[in-house]
Amino acid sequence: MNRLIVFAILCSVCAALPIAAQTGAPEGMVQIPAGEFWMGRAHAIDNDADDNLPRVWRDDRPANLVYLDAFYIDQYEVGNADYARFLEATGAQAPWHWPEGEIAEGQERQAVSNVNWFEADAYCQAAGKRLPTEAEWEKGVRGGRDREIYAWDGGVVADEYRPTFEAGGPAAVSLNKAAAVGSYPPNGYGLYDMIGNVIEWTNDWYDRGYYAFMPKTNPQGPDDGLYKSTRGGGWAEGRGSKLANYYRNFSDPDLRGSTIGFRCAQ
Amino acid sequence: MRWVIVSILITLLSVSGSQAQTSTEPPPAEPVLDPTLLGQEWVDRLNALGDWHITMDGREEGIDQVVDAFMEPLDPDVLVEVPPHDEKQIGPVMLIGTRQVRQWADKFARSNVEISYYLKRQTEKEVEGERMVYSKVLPWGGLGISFPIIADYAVREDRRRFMEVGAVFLQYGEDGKIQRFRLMQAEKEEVLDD
Repeated sequence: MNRLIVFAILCSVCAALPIAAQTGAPEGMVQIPAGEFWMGRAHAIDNDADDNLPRVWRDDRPANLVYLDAFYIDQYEVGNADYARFLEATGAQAPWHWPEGEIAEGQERQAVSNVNWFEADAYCQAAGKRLPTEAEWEKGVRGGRDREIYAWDGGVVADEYRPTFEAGGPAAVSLNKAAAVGSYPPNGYGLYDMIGNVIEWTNDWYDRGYYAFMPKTNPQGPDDGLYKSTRGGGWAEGRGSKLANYYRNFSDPDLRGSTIGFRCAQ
Repeated sequence: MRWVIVSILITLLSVSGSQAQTSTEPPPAEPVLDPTLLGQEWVDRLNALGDWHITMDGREEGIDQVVDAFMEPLDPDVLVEVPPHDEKQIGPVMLIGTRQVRQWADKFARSNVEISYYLKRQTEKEVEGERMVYSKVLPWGGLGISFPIIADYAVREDRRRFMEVGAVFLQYGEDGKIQRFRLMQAEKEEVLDD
């Protein structure tokens, strides 16, 4: 009888635990299940109507059916307050736009920006994590919606200065800067702000021809390169096409940009 | 007197010789790029990717040579578009530079046997089986050609045979090197025995 009561109590406790805890995900991270997904653009687009540049047209093709082992990824982008704690612990350089090296008032939860790839990488390493690969990031942004353009129902209404989103997508706000983390609705994996807030650094070098012969299992990107891949259209994008799940971009790893932030994986 | 005649003759000969030397010779003819020959040559090199073999002791013999021959007419900065080369791919594949094209050619050679692409011929009245190669002199120099093809090949892994119709677009620079090519193939159809 006692054993039955103990068992019932254990079952109740287990049921009450959040899903993250049940999957053993570290705090603030989400487990993305192992499996295949289509990485890249798996459909044709109207080049002229969408005002795509030739590079954009080519570097996201062909789509490849890629298998990834299970991994964890941060539920939110790294915010200013998180980054300030890292600076305090390591003595690293604060983003140049922080007044006198301090977070501007009321900006504690804003996604951090103006950090270069090396600083983002150092942050993740210090937390016992790493930057996500490009493949992990793309699987994450899709939230289980394979071969779709966007991670939400509806599309994007491109604006001259910034995109607005149809129902279900990131809120149509005109901050002209990064928003607080968690400002936009989560995707199917429960990840926030993968699109619409800051562009995010990934661990991979960028090669526009990489998809032609990319490994189909746990791709880690090219061995070397000049630029690091960045993913996810940010707050300053003027074209809807840059908010697509498959959209790729790149940046000099030394560059600190007001539109680029990051999140970590494990 | 004889001396005078000899000196006149010498003078005349030297004048006529110098005239012959200074006369403008026609410039050497520039090599003409024959569209049909170029198209046939490219298809021959593609078909030759199947001309290697595995020895009795399991060594691959001749594959580098056929790939080298395919690569030989390509410009180092060649830009190429080919169909997906993998069942786990969707969409056209862009190949940038000879490193990627060599990788593609090597995979193509290893994956297929009995490779037989040929220029589609068209018959019209008294003209029998003309290879329809279209060409255009490119505004920036060189020659662009295109032609319909029929592809007939078998997959090495399971020997299933396929046929496809398609088209090839080639751009040659003035040096005769291929700067761009595009191989387009429609959806493949399996060839079954009756």
